[in-house]
Amino acid sequence: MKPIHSILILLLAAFPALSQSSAKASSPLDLSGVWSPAGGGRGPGAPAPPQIVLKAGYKEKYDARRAEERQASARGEQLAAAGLCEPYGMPGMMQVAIYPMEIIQRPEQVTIIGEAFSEVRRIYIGKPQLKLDDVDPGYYGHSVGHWDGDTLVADTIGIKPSVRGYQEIPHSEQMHITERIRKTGPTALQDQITIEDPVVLEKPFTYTLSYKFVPNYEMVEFVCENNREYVDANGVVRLKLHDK
Amino acid sequence: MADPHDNPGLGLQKPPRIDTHAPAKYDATITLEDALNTRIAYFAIAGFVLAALPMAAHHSFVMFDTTKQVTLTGTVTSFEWTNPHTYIEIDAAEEGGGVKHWSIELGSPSILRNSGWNHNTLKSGEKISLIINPLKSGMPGGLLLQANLPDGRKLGNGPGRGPEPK
Repeated sequence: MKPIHSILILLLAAFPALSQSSAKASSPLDLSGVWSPAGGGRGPGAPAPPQIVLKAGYKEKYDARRAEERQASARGEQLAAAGLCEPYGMPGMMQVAIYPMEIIQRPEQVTIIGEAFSEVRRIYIGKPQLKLDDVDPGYYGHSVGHWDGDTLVADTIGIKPSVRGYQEIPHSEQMHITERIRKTGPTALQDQITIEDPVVLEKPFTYTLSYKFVPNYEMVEFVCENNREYVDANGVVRLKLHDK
Repeated sequence: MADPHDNPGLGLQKPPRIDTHAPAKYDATITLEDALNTRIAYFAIAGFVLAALPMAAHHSFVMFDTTKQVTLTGTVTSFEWTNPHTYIEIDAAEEGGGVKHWSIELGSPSILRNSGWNHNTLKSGEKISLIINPLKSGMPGGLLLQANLPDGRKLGNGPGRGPEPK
């Protein structure tokens, strides 16, 4: 082989590595990495609060449940919202307190892992959405996505009604979640989430979650193995005490 | 004393506060700063105005008396570095003699690692003192505010809650 060919081969071998490390961090089309909840807040430029309008029947049940919770709280008791080791599912897993999430990106699939409860969802890029009947109702449903410029648009159906809704808002099996996920800067990510539900909601509502990039973070394992809290016969959360 | 609900480091969010009479602004973006403030949401439902929007509560401090602090001094019997909560089991000296066993709840390992804790921080047999919010029920359990370790370190219960590690 001529020496020039050897040199070219060496350069080509080196180049991808060189270009990747500098390009990756700032590419708007690369969402990969670990992101922790951040930003938003109040003040100028803050996203508008969602206006959530429940249909008749659902509003009354919602209010009644909040009233029960308030009364229990006044007695020093917490009513269980869901199973105490139960993961959030969608859309809740997209923000759980200050826990980070990891985005793993391949051209055909974006995988998001939430550190809290080790929740995993997969968005299939370029695939058509399924008919609702063909989706097993679950915590994460079925998500498909496509790129709209620098925005990943994700469409999710098939979340079962028992999975906690956004802010405990009830939902039917027909809940349809649309997300517009995009980087707003080299280390800033936003997920604009729209919830539609023709059964429960008078109209769709939208809220925005913001994240900041966390470099060099190794995700921590989270297996809900030691749930010392339990729900008693009245739906009240109690703490299991040990004798020793 | 700060309301522990205000500390996102515990992985907790505020319980609902309902005001059905006065509309208020709600910022849908849940942030660290937001978690420090009371937030109620604006609802308009079929002509009726407003219900408060509760924070989705994975966990609440309702069972602990956050207005009270108790100091427990004694011997660790076990340190459970687990999810969703870490627990310190302690045999604590009683006033007037004797010992009582307490179960004390902390945040999750991921949260605690950010404020100086790891799986080896405490061992069975170590002598420590703990400042806690006790259970409202009066049973011997509580929520950790601060741990005073044998080596002199004082650790809190997650970022922003209690002493920061040096």
